[in-house]
This record gives sequence, structure tokens and C-alpha cells, in this order.
Amino acid sequence: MIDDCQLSFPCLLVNSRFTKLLPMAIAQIFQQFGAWFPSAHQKIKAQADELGDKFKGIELDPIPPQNLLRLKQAVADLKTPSPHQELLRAQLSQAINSWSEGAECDNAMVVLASPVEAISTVFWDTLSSSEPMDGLTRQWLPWSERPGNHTIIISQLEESILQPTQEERSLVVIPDLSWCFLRCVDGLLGIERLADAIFSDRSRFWLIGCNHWSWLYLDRVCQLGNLVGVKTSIPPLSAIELKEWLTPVWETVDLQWGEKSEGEEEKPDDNWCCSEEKRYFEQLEDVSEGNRAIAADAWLNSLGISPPPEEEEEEEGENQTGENPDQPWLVDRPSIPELPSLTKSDRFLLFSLILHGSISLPHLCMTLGEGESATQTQVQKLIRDGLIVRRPGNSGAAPRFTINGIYYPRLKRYLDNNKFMVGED
Amino acid sequence: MLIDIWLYQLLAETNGEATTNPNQIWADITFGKIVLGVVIFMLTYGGVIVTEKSLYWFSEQVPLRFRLLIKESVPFWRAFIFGLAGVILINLFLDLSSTNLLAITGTAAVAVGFAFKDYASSVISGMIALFERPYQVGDRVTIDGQYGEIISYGLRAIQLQSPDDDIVTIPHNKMWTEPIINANKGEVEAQTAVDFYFAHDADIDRIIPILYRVAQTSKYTQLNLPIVVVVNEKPWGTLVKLRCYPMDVRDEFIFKTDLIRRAKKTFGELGIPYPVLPAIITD
Repeated sequence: MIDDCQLSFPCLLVNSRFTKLLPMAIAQIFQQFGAWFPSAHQKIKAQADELGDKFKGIELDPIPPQNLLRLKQAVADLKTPSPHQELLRAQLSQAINSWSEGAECDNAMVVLASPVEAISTVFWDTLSSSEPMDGLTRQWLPWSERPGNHTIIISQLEESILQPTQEERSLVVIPDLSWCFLRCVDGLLGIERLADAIFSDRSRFWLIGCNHWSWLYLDRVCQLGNLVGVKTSIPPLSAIELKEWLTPVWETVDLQWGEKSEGEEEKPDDNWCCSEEKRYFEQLEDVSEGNRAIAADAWLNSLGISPPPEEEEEEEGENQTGENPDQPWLVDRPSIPELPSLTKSDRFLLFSLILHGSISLPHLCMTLGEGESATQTQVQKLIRDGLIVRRPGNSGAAPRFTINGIYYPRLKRYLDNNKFMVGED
Repeated sequence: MLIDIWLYQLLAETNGEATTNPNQIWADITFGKIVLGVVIFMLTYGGVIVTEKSLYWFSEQVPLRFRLLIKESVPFWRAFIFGLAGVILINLFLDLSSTNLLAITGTAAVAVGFAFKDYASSVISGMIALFERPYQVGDRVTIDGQYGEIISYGLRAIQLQSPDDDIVTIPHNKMWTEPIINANKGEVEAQTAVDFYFAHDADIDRIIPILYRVAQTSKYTQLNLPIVVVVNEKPWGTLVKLRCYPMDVRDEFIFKTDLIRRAKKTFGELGIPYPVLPAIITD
């Protein structure tokens, strides 16, 4: 006689009672679920709406476009935050001192920034206002963007900064290294030439600005990291630093807090005028990861006008009176918008844009190995989606395209998840 | 049927039981049970299709790094749903005491041994392959001279999608006899090798850096993985092989095209000579 217990596992599965009870049990579960679901659904929906309202803040109408444009320009004209300037000066001074003291010390320093940060402006703001360091004459790369024809990068570099100088020692400033290369077969010759110069000419100290993504790429393909020993990054700004930096523009507009504190809250320290302000800038720091370019965009995005009540809206619709200039502006909770749906070829294009900082359409086509017409339509679609921004080129040059800074944090995560080599900023 | 009655009797006698009712192995089959059985069968079939389709759809929506993780789970879910349905159906129609269970497995073993040898071999291989994992859904494999991406992992066979978009069905039992060449083994990157041919007098010291740059500047290249250029001397010329990885193995052929197109353009501009082969005249 075979003991049933010896086959306990299969018998448990195939027990006939199990078969009879299973349909009944399933039916009962469905019945209970059917009874529970409608009330639970209502309850969950109400809670979700409440939570959503809490996080979303209030629905605001956008501010008039001409005002937005004016504010954007005012933000673009803001000086580099003083913590960044001080840090850059201190690091540069230290690196130059080391270089002056030891023959084998590094004669180059790279300052890394986020791809949405204008690193050249940081250099300009910092160095133009300071005294020459250690008696060094400064030699700037006199460009403000990549030359229109990438094949002349090397000759223009030779002309502008690689010529031998009269001075015994000098400081060469390359405000943005991404101007000196293009991701194509012959687009890295300028970087190779620069690397040769840094290695061989030790009478000059090289100060190089670069975005994290370009640097990672150039380090991988040209091993620049081995050549430039001193690396420093533009640090993130704290909430109070962001406030100080934005204050000159902030003060030009009459703003009211859209999101009021619940109940009585303690007044924060002297740095903040109210608890709403403190909370707002902490949120701004959080969403922008301390990056001022993203923070500025998030701030502008959070401005709005309280929508008129429905009755007024109807009247307004009938009368077509337009904007009310006296209507106060409100500040909503800062947020980063969701990415629109992107295709595989969009990913390649966006990566190329971030890698090069800003780029013209012919250059973009070259880096993608695609025809101009196909790339043009794709760029147009991404401009419409708000992911790309078109900027006019300098002195009649072709327009440049950059990514919209506000999408950068999400785009970075998205490209990282899709196996692109993204910089760690 | 005769075999299982005989086996039942044999077992019962062995265990000293009286063979009162050999048909006891079948449970009472009622109309309701048949309807339930049909419903379970249809639900299982529908469940497998829905699960597969939704997992495949979902795997294409998520970021690249998670694509194969989701695809790899498809065989497990298929086996789980089939297994669950099998247990319920067996339970519904058979009265499985321990003796009956032995009789049925014995019967099944004999039937399978004679009639469905290859089928059983494929099914068992498929189950073993789930654990050994010589291939998974999403991998690019070469089996028995057939190359492609595994798009389906069935009970008996896998389906490959070839570069020409043909669907090739390969039974799992090829695993016993054929070598399985897996290009990416659960990763989204797979090495791509491109051959370039040059004349003997071509300047290799110019060619090699150009090929590195060609790979380093392609939008498809995964720069976190190595790029290697290998040179081989042949009687008709010099063979230079560029080995690198695309970010997504699905871009393998377009990646190859991109590398060749840009390399040929540069070699053409620099006037690097290609080998000249003697003409062979045949009838």
C-alpha cells in the first residue's frame, strides 16, 4: 500500500476537493470585490484628487508672452552667482601657484559644468573683473561659437591661441571646449592639436571650460583626462544662493504666493521674508538640482495669473477685452514638465545636441550622418514639443539649436536609461 | 486506454488492493465540468496571448536597459499559466489518488516514449533551457546556420526573426546536437565586426586611427565598450577588421552601414588604395 502522504505535494495540487472549491472561492472573491470596489474607488479617487491638488498647486493662466520674454532676457543678463566666481578664482589661483612652483605640475585645469549652463559666461564674468593672476598675461580663444566650417577649427586655433607669444608665461583661456570639436571623423583634429600643445608647451597655463558630457566623450576618445590633471565642477546652488542670484529679476515684478501655508507657521530665519518663500526656493533647489539655468526656467514656468472666475471669463470672451494689466502675478509650485514621447532617432539627435552644447543644422546633420531635410523636420518637431530651442547665430551665422534647459534633468535620466554615455553633473 | 487499465490493475494487485473499478481513474464527468474545462482552456489560451502581447508591448515602451529583462520573463509566465491550467484540468477530469497518479505517469511515459519522442525531447529541452539559459527572448543567436533575434520562446520551439525579416522556427532539442552561438546573452549590446580590404601598399598607420575615429564618432556606438582594430595579411591584400558595439543590438546592420559609409568616404578622400584582384575568366 502506498502511503498517500508520500505524495503529499502532487496530491495537494490535484486534490478533488480543491477542484470543487476553487470555482466557488473565485466566485466569492469576485462577489466581494464587486461589492467593495465602487465605494473604495470613490474613496481612493477623492484622496488622489486631494493629494494631486496639494502637489499640483493652483491652475494658473500663463503670463503675457512679452513679459515672459522680458524676464527671460533679464535672467540671461544676470551675472554668474558669486559662489561660482569665488570658487573658480580660488581653484585657478591654487592651480596656477602649483604650476609655477613645480616643473612637473599640471599646466591645465578644466572647469566642468552642466550642458545647460553657459560655462563661457562663467569664465567671462569671473576673469574679466579680476586682476591678472601671478603676472600672467591672458590669451582668450576669441570665439563665441563653433566655426561654421569644422575643417578650419584647427587652423583657427593655430591662429588665435597656438601661435608662439612674446610673453614668457601666459594663461590661455578656452571658454568652451565644445566649440573646438564636432563628432565626425575629422572633427576631433582640433582637440588632438590642443592636447599636443598642452603637453608640449609648459610655458602656458591652460584654463578650459567644458560641459560634463563633452568632457566624458573627449576623455573616452582622446584621453584628455590623462592630460588635464586639475578638474573642478561648478557646484550646485543652495536655496538661499538661488534666491540671491534671482533677486535682481524677482524684485522687478510684483509677485504673490499662489500656494499659501496651511495654518500658523514659524517665521523662518532672516534670510527669508516668509515661510512660503523659503519653501518655494527649497522646492526650486530640489527640482533644479541646484542648477541655476534649470532653476531660472522652472521659476519662469511657475509664474502665472489667477484665472478669472467662470462668469467673468464668459463676459471676457464676449467683450474680448484681453489682459488685465493690474492683475497680480502668482508664483505656483516649481516643477519640471514630463518629456513628450520620443523616438529612437530623437534620442540620437538630443544626445548630439547635449554633447555639443549648441550646434547649427549642417553640423548636427554631420554628427548624425543624416541628410539635412530629414534632420530639419525632426528638429522642427522637437522645437514644437518644446525640447529644443532655436537661437540666432552670431553675425549672420546659421541659427544654433540647444536643448530647453527645463527638460534637462528628465532627459538626462531618459538617455542614461537608454544606454547613452551621459555626464555626471 | 487499455494500457492505463492494465497499469492500474497491475499497481492495485501489487499493493494488495482489489480491482473493484478500474474506471475510477476518471472523475465523474458532467456537462458542467466539460463546459468549465472548455472555459479554462480558452482562458488559458487567451491568457497566454494577452500576457505575451502585453509583455512584448511593455518591453518596447520601457528604456532600453530594461527591454530584455521583461522579454526574458515571457517563457516563465507562459509555463506558469500552462502549468496552472494543466493542474486544474487534470483535477477536474481525473480522480488522482496516489496509485492513479503512478498509473497515469506510467501510461504517459509509454505513450510519449513511442509516439511523441521528438516532441517530448523538445519540450524537455525547452524546460532545461529555461534554467541553463543558452538563449533568451531578445537574444541574437545562430543555431544550425540560422541567425536572428529570438522573438518567441514556445513550449516546443523558439522563433527567430532573421535580418531579412523571415521567421524561423527552431525546436529546442537542437540544443542537444547543435552549437548555439549567442551574440548578446541577455545584454542589449553585441559586438559588430566590419571588414575593410586594402592593397598591400596601403598605409596601415593611417588606416587604423581613421577606423578608430569612424567608430568613435558614430551615433550608434556604445563608447563604454571597447573598440578594437585588428589587421590580417592575406595573399590578395590587407584585411582590417573593426570590432565595436552598437548601443542597441537591433541597430547592428544600420550601424555596420554607417561605419562602412563614413570610412569609405574618408579613405576615398585620402586616396587609400583598395586591393586589385586578378580577373578570373570562366565559361
